[in-house]
Amino acid sequence: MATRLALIGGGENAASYTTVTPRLPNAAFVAVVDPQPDRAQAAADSLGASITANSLEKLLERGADAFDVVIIPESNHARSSLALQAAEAGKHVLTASPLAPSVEDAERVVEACRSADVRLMASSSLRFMPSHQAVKNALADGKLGEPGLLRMHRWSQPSGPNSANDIVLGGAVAGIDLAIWLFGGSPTEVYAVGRSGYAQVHLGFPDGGMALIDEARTLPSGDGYLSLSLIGSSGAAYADDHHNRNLVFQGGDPSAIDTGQGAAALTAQLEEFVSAVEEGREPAASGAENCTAIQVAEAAVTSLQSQQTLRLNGGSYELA
Amino acid sequence: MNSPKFRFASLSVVKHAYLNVAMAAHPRFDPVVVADDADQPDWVHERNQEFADEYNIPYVRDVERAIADYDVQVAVVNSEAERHCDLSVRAADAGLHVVQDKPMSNRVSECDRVVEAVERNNVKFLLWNRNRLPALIQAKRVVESGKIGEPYAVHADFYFAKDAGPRKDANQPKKPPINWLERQKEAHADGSDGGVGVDPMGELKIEGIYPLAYIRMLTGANVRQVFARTTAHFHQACVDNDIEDLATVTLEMDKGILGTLCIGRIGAASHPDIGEIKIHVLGSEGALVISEARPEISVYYRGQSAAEYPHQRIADDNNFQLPEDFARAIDTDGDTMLNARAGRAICATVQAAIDSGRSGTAVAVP
Repeated sequence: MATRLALIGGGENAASYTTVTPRLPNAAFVAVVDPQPDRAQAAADSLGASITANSLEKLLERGADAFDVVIIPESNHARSSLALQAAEAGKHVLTASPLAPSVEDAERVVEACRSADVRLMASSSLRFMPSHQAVKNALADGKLGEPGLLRMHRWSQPSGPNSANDIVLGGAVAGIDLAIWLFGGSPTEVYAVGRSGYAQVHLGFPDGGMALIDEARTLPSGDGYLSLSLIGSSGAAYADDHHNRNLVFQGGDPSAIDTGQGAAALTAQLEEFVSAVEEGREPAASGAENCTAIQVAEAAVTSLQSQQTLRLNGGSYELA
Repeated sequence: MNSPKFRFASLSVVKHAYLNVAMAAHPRFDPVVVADDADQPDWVHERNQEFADEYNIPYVRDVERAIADYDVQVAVVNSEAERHCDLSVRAADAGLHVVQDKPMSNRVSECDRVVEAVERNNVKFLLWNRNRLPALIQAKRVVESGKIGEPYAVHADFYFAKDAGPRKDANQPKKPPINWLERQKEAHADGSDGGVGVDPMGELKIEGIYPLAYIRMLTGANVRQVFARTTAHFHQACVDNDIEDLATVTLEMDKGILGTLCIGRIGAASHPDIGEIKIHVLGSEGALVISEARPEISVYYRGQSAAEYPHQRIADDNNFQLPEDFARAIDTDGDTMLNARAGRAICATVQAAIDSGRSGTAVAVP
């Protein structure tokens, strides 16, 4: 039987999932939750789902047996409480990153899922982008040698709370998670600086590894920018939008446009989670891994505020 | 009226001689003598003599006598890094304008001597740099146009895809440590001896001047504090000499401007040409991403040697623009594009980054 999915907060996210649904042979959307009934219905129609509700609570009341997995997209800011609710109802949880606004809240969700013996994935699509998968594969195949330096730029338009702290504890968690994933462990040093609309996080890993992640939310309207390079001891990989853009001439300075990577990342993410549910195993980008990234982000916020380095001591980060 | 020519003395030409060649190729400068101290080792004298022979000019083993006897107005200093500043100070004290190769020095205190001598003697000083590469000129133009607003963060990547002797290999039986100077003398053959000298120098000291000069040009700001990670990731010579070949630096600058620097000698296998060199500028109204390698062409063919870069930079007249700028500074009694104070500030930033890498803490730039 196909794994049955429920999209929570579906109205504004349905379009991207509609693109992906036909590519998932072993999964199907059966329910959509949205506080606005007309939006819920429109999303359900586009996804081929038969059940709508205006809250997860109502969905559980009306049809708890009708679905297996809840999907909580990035736009939903009540992710941790929804994830707790779903886990307590015995539902597998795929949520956007960060899983929660604090590591304590995130660990609570991880523990709830563990107790309920349900799978938990907490990830942005960054890990699943074809470009980043290719970098990871090159590293795993030994082509790059030992990872030495990760550089990542991620720029977009202003959205929501935009202080440096907000950025570090929000979108930057995905970049931190990516760094931990590529280096294969937690950073031992954390230093961060920032300003309104911008943050840069500097991480040190064991054996001399290092990562620089900058996240800006100050671009004018239009495309965002994403660039990643990984320098290893015997090779390097450049997943770099600068080289992968097309040009538009319309008078004045030409513009560059992002060709994008389509729906491949979201598809890969869903496929991985559905497979993990079917196989009863821990998914890639697990909730526990997201907790680690949130912990590093919290250390980065402390660094932002104290203007000092934090070092990993035992399981926690302390001012150096 | 034709502009006057300046006669220059090359004070030591021990490295690959790009700087001296560039000066000699410019119509405003004439090489007239090579000079160095008599007590230098034989290999130094041999290289000085080679350059003198190539340009059919005399080699004099006495710096002060050469300056006195050959009616020179300019000194071009291209010695080992630890002698750069001393030669520059002596030239400035003799009333010569000075063009000096990078790094300015291994020690900030030496840079201070140059600043003092240049200002006391009212002579011009240019630290060699790459700020007039076409892409950098373009970047500066965009920033100055105001199109991206006020720059608030600048990121520079500066990777040289070159090898530097044996690869680091912790699993190999312990061999005698690689002697830094001997390794650099060997590297002269392929022009990768930018770190030549007795004192070992990591990539921050050898090449850090270039990206830090880009950032300085684009922001006009001094670096106030740094946090750095440094490691010997690639080359055994760097392991043996306790210096870095890979580094990341967080930069905190005047006016609240932030930035980063990634730098490394990452090995020939890691890039299809000389290396990834890029600048990212975030401004209040937009952003800019520049590849320093542009413009370039690509040439691929059957039987192509692995040693040949398939991507070739073109239209690079940095080597003309720098002497041009230097001549203009002399003509107008103006400032050079990278003067002694700017060079000193960059040297201090590099030293703070190295100190930070060793201590694991943020370090104020003195």
